[in-house]
Amino acid sequence: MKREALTIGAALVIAALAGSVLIWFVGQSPLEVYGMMLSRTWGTSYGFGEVLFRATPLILTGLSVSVAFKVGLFNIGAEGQLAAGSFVTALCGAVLPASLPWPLAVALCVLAGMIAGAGLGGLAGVLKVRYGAHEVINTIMLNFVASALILWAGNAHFFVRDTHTRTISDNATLPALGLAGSHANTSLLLAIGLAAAVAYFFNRTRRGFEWRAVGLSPRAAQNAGVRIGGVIIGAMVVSGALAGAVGANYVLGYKHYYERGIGGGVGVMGIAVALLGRNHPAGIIAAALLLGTLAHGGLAVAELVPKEIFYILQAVIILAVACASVYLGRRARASGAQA
Amino acid sequence: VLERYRAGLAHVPEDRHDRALVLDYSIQDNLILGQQRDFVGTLDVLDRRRVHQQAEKLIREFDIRPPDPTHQVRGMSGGNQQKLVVARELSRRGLSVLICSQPTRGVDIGAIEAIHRRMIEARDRGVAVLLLSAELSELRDLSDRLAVLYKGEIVATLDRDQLGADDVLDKVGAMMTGAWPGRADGAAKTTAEGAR
Repeated sequence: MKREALTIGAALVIAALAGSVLIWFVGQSPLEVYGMMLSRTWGTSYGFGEVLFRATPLILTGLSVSVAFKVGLFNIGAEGQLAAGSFVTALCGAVLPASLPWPLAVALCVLAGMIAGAGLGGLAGVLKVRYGAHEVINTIMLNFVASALILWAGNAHFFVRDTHTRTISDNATLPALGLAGSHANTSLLLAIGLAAAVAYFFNRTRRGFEWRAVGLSPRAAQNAGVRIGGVIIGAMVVSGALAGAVGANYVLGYKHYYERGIGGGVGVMGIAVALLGRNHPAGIIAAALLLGTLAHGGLAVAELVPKEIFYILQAVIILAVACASVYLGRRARASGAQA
Repeated sequence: VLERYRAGLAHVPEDRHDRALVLDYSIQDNLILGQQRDFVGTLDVLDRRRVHQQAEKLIREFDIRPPDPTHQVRGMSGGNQQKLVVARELSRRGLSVLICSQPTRGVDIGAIEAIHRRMIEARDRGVAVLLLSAELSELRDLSDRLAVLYKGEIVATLDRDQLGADDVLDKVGAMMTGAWPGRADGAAKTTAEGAR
């Protein structure tokens, strides 16, 4: 645990140094840029709010990817699952009667989004278990299916202006966290709650015990009476549901309608978050905050360096952490091999 | 698989790393693997206290080292890993048949003896023990009845008193290669039965 944190920390330092070289290359002082980035993100309540707003969906997609990872699956479909979830959340919010009490309205909308994501993820799981199609291919292809389906359904029936759906009714909106007009909203609490739930599930429940065993050693798990196919489908359903909850942040907490391309890229970044957070819910929250900081920080220092520098920095961090993960895995095996 | 366990079957697989253990799990987690349903409280939550107690009990009974229930199994010696597997399989509720496949492969002498003793004890408790092994002396020492297989067929069955003969191992070896009954090709496998 301690070595993990140290290695990840070392990877981050190396990435920051590489970033410094880039910043220096465009003719700015790295210290000044990093300093400005920090003061404009964690230094002001607006900046901090924006970091939280960007971190919220990353927590959810990071969790989504990590749940699949834990049972040995690679869910590349968070992108499509969150799009489907957001779309359905918005539709649900738009058709709910205005008289419904808000807790019920919000819960229904979030649940609808999670079910949509779960359906898409579950479908990929069924295709794998039943027909042996690899989940990477399934989830990538379902991303296209989801985005095309949403576009068609929206154009044919639901889009009122350009590519927006109707605005959701007021009782389904999530209030802002009140951080100086930033977009951070209460869906952050939902994300943290779900992270805690995922941690509890894996560490304490019988099913979590079996799911982890499937990820670590499928044949031993099978020998222990676990039905692997069921676990694969279950994990993809949960993974999809977590990605589908992203709509709570963008739709219920921010835009109040679905717009084409909402949350684009967050699904892919979820893979990076899961990697960076070592699949651990607490690590995922930390990783989401870090990447959220970079995403908003890139905008905040745009007057000094092009924001593309920060996209590169994100990628360098991911590469550094990926290398660190391989290193950690090798260490773990080496310490076991002495037996 | 679950149905088999419910019927009272226990199984020490041939390859403990592949089939019997999750190497990244702790000793206590591996000790309940396959019995995880017996250690749940309300809402399917694992009862950690009971898992821990079970681990401490089995570690004591079977002298598993290191005696730390939270130790990761990957770093343990082969003998202790195998003792863990045997301990777990023998601790199954309603145990009536135990199948041991090469239970002492890659295991140090001390652990071999401990495992042998446990198998005999299980037999004395009335558990039917089926031992499959390539270790002929092990088969001779433990078996009540020994069946020799060649090309998927039983070519001979030896009883306890026949197994006492001095040259029995040579005979069994010959039968395994098909040479004894007059055939002469291929490899074979022995099966021993300690039925009671």
